[in-house]
Amino acid sequence: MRWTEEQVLAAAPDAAAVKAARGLTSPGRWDEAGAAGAAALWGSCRGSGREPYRAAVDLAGPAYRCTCPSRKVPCKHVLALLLRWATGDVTDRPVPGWVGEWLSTRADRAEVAQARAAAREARQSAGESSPARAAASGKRAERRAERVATGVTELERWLADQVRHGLANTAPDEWAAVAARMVDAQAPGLARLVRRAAELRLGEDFSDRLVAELARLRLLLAAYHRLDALPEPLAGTVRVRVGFPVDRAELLAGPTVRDRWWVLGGRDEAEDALSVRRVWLAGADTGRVALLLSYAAAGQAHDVAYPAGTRLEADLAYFPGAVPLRALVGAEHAPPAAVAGEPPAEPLGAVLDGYARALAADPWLEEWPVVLAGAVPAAGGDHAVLVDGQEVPVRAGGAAWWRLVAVSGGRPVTLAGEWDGGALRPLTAWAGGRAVPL
Amino acid sequence: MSARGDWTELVGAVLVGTDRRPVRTGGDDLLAEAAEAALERYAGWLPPPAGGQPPDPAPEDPRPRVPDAAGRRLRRMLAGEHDELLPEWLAVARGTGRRAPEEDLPDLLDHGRAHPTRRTAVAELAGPRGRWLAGLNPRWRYAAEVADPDGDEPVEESWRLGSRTQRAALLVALRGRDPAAARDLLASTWSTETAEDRAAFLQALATGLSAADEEFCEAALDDRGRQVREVAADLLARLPDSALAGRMAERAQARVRRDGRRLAVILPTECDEAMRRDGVLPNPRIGTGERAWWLEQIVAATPLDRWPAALGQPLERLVTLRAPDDLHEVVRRGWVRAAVRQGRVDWAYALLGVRPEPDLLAVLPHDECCSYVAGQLDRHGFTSDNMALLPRCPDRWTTGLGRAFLAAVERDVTRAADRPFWLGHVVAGARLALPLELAADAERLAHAVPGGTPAAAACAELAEVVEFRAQMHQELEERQETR
Repeated sequence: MRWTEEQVLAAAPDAAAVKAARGLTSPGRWDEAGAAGAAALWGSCRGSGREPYRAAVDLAGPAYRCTCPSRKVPCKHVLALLLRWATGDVTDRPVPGWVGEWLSTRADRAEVAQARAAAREARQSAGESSPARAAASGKRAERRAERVATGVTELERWLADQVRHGLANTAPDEWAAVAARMVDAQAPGLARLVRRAAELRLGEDFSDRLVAELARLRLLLAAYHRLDALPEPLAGTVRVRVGFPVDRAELLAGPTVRDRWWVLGGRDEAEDALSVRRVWLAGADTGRVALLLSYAAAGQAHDVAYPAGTRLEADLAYFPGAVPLRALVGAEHAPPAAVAGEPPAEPLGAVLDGYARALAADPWLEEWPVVLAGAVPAAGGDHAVLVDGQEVPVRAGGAAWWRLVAVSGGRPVTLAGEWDGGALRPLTAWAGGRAVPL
Repeated sequence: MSARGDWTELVGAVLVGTDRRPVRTGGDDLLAEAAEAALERYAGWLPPPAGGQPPDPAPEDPRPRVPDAAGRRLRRMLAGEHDELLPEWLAVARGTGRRAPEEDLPDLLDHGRAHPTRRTAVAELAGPRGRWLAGLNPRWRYAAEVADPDGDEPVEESWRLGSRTQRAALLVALRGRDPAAARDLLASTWSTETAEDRAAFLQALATGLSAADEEFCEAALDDRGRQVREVAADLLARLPDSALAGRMAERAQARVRRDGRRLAVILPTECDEAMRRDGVLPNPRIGTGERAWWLEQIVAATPLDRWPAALGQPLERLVTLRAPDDLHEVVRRGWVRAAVRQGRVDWAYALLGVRPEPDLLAVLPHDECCSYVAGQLDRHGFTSDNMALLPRCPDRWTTGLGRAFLAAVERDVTRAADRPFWLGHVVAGARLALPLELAADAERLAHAVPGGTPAAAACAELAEVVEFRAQMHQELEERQETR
């Protein structure tokens, strides 16, 4: 199936690559561009050098290849090729030699990887019966638990010190040092929470928020000590929040939820030289919500590429926890497409009740996806939307805010956003029968 | 613990440190207590009753949206991709009678704010929703001021209350319909206007200028404002039967005569009071002698029809006459300016017959201008004279000029591969002007140029921009029924 332009853009590593790629889409740049159905794409792009760059895409992966020196994946040449294909400018042709070679090496490698995985699985199932192997893996888990416990105790002590001496007196570089020690203690979740709190110090009216977040961190540490006494879904929440890894393959092999998922929107944020993409989904039939997270090195493409306002049909596997939210996409039954209609929305009271219930089950919940019906941007100076005769503060930059105002035209819209317990960050608005990413 | 006072106290204690500020309530573990309070605050948040009123809804815009593909391209251009093509997009979109997508209005209105010449197009495409937004955001106020099609204020009212730009625009529009009424309107407030305003409004008389305006302009020659006097002299010089034109002709004919097969030229020795009153500027541009400069201005204000009789030669011959010390060049410069000022196509062709002159292109009708430049390119290629012509060509070239241009590029590139370092600039200049039906030809040219040279990059860029423009037009003109 041919990709839409939006899908191509979502696969791009960054905006600069898209811009550069747009400049390469004219037919004059391309020689022998061709496609093999929905399996592969290729072409030679004339650049500034004498030799054209050869770009190819294995659409099954998708995997990208180009002879240019760029470190971005996919590079501008591959993106340009995909854009041309998306607009129907690339026709089917016989596969040239260099493409065929690449595709077959890829297929070989995939087979080898599969064989290795099968062998590993066989070893593991054999190993389960082997007491020595079980003992070894049990020992590993034990060592990790010990290191995490040490880290938790250390963080507890540090927090208590800060409370005695005053958070206002904490040296700025101490936060980073503490976060680094949590990474060493194999508790990346704790490290992330410390870094997040450190960032809060820089925001406005930071004190309420900072104290509240550190208090929740303290609660998490206390919960970790009592892990064995906690009921299972909550214990799972604590383990995931502290940073114990979850085996993705195992997760996907477990129960999944199939639905027609609305893509409510999301955003990319830089975290430690990584780009973190968050995408919120809401099920049209089950009414469930989900958060997809994807991590990519700077300049690399995210493997989650769902344009806001579209809908896809897929199986989701939820991470364990008291409030299932974060999920992985298993089988995709229908790719994301622009469809008529709107995601299920609720009145404000029900939305807030839902958030309170979720927070009661998972006290470390950060953002919660909501869809408000009949929201009207207020005319005053403060950014807020009026819903059911009440006012909800909106946390949005000037561009997103004015886009929301322009789209509404002073009339009610359906508005999806992230609720953080005090303000709404708008993601997508539905008005006049179309979805507008904000 | 849920009382607000307790929370504030708790936050204060954590920030300052319990060593310095012990808390009355609670035990040793302050943060554990704060956790409970924080969760209560998050979960228990209650929306305040709506303080602000919703704004009055924007009036409906009956026009259909531009097609989706056109909207996507607009978004990319507003984000910086080929933003030099935005004026073309705006012009074409305006012609289709459609409205800009609502979600793009903030960026579009910001763009208009940064580019005043595009504001009328922006405001029209934004329509009632744009005027509504302008009411909420003072940054976009201009969108409410630019032409409201429903506004039918009486002319006198707008003339009294408008800004200088609006009043000048109103005057020009009225000149187009009723020149005398416009002049009377200007005269009615003339004595109370500032010098700057008088100069700006007098310039509006250039539209629909006729002998009936002479009296008004002649009076303005004695105005207190220097700029006003200059505009008045310029307008009078465009009227061949005006008294000023007659005075200039006398001065010119006393100094430029024919002496057998040559031109005899005597430069003026002074710029007297009378010459200054008629708009002769005493101080020359740098690089021109002042006496030559005075004569050039005199010739430039002399009615061109006087010359065949005065010199006893038909037009085609007299433009070729030479004078000692190259003084015929001074006369030629005057003639060129006169031809532009008086809009004389016959003189323009005669003068261009001697050699190319970029200024004269403005006189030729669009198609003739293009075919003249096409002929020059066919015959001589990219000489420095011809390259000076290209930037002065109309914004949109004819197919003929486009073909001649591409052929000249191809000839030059194949003839001398090392030369085209400057060719890049010439080719870049054609990106906005090349007619779209030549997109395929530009494409072929990009393939024909050997790679790795600046010219190759420029040709590839040319092909790409023309293709971009072709898609832009195609998307906008597509018949797609959207709400």
